[in-house]
Amino acid sequence: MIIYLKNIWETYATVFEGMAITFSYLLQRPITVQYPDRMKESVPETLPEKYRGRLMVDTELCTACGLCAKACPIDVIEMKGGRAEGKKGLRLIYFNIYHGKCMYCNLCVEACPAEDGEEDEHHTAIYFKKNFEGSSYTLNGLVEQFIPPDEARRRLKESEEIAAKRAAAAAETTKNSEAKQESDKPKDGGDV
Amino acid sequence: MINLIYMFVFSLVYLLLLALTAGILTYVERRIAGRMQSRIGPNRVGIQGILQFIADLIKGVQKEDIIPADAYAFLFKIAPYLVFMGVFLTLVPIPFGAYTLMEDLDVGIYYVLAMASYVVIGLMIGGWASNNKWSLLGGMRSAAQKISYEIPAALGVFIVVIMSGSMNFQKIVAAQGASPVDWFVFRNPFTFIAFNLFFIASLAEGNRVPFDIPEAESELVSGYNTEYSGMRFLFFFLAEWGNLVVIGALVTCMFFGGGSFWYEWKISIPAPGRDPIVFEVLGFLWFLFKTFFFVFVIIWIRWTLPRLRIDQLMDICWKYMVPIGLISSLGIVIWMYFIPENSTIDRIVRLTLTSLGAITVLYFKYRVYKNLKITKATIYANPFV
Repeated sequence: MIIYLKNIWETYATVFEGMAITFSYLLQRPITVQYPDRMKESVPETLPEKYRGRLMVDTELCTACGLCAKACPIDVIEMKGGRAEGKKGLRLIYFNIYHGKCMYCNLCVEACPAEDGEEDEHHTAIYFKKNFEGSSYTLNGLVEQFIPPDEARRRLKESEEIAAKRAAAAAETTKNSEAKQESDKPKDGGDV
Repeated sequence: MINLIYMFVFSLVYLLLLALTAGILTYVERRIAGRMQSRIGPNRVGIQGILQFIADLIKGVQKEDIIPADAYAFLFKIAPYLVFMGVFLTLVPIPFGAYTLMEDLDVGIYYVLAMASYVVIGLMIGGWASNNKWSLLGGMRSAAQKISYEIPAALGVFIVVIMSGSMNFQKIVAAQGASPVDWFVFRNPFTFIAFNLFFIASLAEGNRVPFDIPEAESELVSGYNTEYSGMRFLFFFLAEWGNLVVIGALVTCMFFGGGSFWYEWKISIPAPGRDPIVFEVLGFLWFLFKTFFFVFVIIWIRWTLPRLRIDQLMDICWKYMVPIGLISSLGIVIWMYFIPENSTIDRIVRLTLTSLGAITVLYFKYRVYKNLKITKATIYANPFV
């Protein structure tokens, strides 16, 4: 009999407690974030410091060394560097990132040697933006070309010209040096 | 002839109002559920999503009306309407005001119980005509549950009928008063038990959580309405939400003083010298307020409690509610014989019960406040986000 009454009491007591809890939730603000159109602040501002969004490259800073492309385990980065007029070292000819493939592993960023000297989150030439929006209806839409195709074609031509020029110059020097070597060669010890 | 036209017009108005209310209630329920789960709920269609139920309706109408090849087409088609009709017909004797009712039946409560059982036929027909064994089993389960819980509900009603001496809703309301002390729920311990019996049994009859074993949307494939699609499917839901209003109205009438809202004013006896229309409107609004409060409580229970097991369901009905109901219906008779109305003991008991109710409400507020403190949340009571 006592158990019987206790059961009844417990039923009411637990239902009472449960209803108090749900009612307290009724008075709280929902935690739902109404993305994307009813946000008070833009989404990237709300993200954590080390958030990895879309991969991005600073084409000015980049030295076209190709280490990121080598570091990438799934060939997300497709790039080529070439010589340029009036610039020491290499310059980018094209730099394409296949966002559809990227798995945000950060290996390319670790490999990048080009730094701008600041201590912020993106001090390397290749870095992750906080922006994550970039859906596309086609797979090709997920390929981002940081150097526009026209510009890339122009740069390729330029670098090829320079390369050809240098090759010619190099050929000249080798010819000269060969000729010099020829003249310096002792006459009898020729074929060994 | 004129009477016939009046009848037609009024039933049409009632029907539309019930359908509209049921539709809005689906939206309200989803919003409340959302807030209780730290979500928002539908808020895109119309201002704050108020038109969501119309969007759902349009979707339901657009869907193909599938009738299984081997189903008994006529019964299959008619079952949802039977269910909806059963719920709608229970509204007939409910007094929303002194004059705002369809028919002042002398056997009002009896009629309501009969119509509530009538829903069972619709469910069984729907389950059977689908020609699907799961639907049939679902229909059987619903029917079994509804019929078992008729008994505690009837016992609760029985106590009220003994207290008021009538089955007429107007007289039941008139037997109570405007202040909580006069309500049947706080009148004496047995009527309080009757309220609990009737309310719990109504939840079970309406297939609401925690008694929604027949439908169990998260576990089974919905029971008797498995094979239904489109508008017919929505009719079952319309009936379910219409039933909420009916339960709320019945509880208000029988235990919470109906639309009486002023001292010494009884709903069926408009006092002389007062404007009847003003009192009618005020009484109607007060009745609606109480009704929708109980609708809110039912929704709230749904989003609080988990589902019972079938053995627990049977335990509650046969081991707890039926014996307690029988004992209290005996008790009420003895009580009424020995303790006449408005005697000292009667008044003391009423006051004690009412203050116990008030203490419960205050303690509830305290518990809610505690829970808010535990979660360290700031209060945001605005229903619109």
